[in-house]
Amino acid sequence: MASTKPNKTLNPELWLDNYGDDLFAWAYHRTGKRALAEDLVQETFLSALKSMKNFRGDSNEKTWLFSILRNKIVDHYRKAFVKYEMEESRLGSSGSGESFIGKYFDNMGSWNSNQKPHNWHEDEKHLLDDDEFRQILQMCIGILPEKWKALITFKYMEEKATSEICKELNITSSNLWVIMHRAKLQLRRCIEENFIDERA
Amino acid sequence: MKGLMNKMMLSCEKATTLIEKKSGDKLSCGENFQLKMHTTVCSACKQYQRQSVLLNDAIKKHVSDFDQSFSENNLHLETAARQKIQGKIENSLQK
Repeated sequence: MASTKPNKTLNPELWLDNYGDDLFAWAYHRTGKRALAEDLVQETFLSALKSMKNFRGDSNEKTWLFSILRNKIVDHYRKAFVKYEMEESRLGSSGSGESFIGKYFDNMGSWNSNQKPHNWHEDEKHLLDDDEFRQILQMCIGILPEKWKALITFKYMEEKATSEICKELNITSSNLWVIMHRAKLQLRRCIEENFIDERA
Repeated sequence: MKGLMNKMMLSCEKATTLIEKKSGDKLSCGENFQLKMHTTVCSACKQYQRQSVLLNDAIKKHVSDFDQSFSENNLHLETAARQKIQGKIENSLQK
């Protein structure tokens, strides 16, 4: 090999066999979408091939590929979010926002009687270890619109700081919480419909 | 007095938005006070608050549990996707 610091630990012809399934599983778990996860794995490999020269060898091949995948996921959600913001501003403020909130709260901002939060369990902390609850949570995150999943992913999966999220998505923090509020309203509704009603 | 009370009292919509804000930002003294006052008298929002925090914890746990054990997972790339990616990699390697 010509270079003094050869990429001796990179074996791109083996990447798919060695890491394809792991990368896919991780991407699928984070996004909840099979086709999207496949695309992200493909993009990860192609980006990695282009930037092999930059591989310093401080981390191993697998860690390096996962860091690229992680960036791809963040990128995907940033784009999804920006696209949604553009559509919203094109539709004007009378768009979907008002009618969404109207499903949960009346004109005075009080809970609609059929939307009031129910008790989920006599000991809700136990739900963290309840398999059925966790499966329903995963399903409910999976069906959130991408724009809201973006916030959930940044805030609670990647655990980014509020300031960082606002910078990445180019929104104010009060805007962030208004959108997060909608995401959480829908998420908890989905859980209530599938988990609680099933048990009742 | 009643006007003042109404001004001080948050709606459920505002209160639950503040609950989300509280999970990642510091609330101002005024906001904190208003939220406390609201959840003292509104059991639905109090319930929302508990469950909102629970959801945050559940999502974090969902992710960290998976990260710790995902080598034992049985998710696989489907053959068609695998072949497509293989083709792309070979193409790119030949360039």
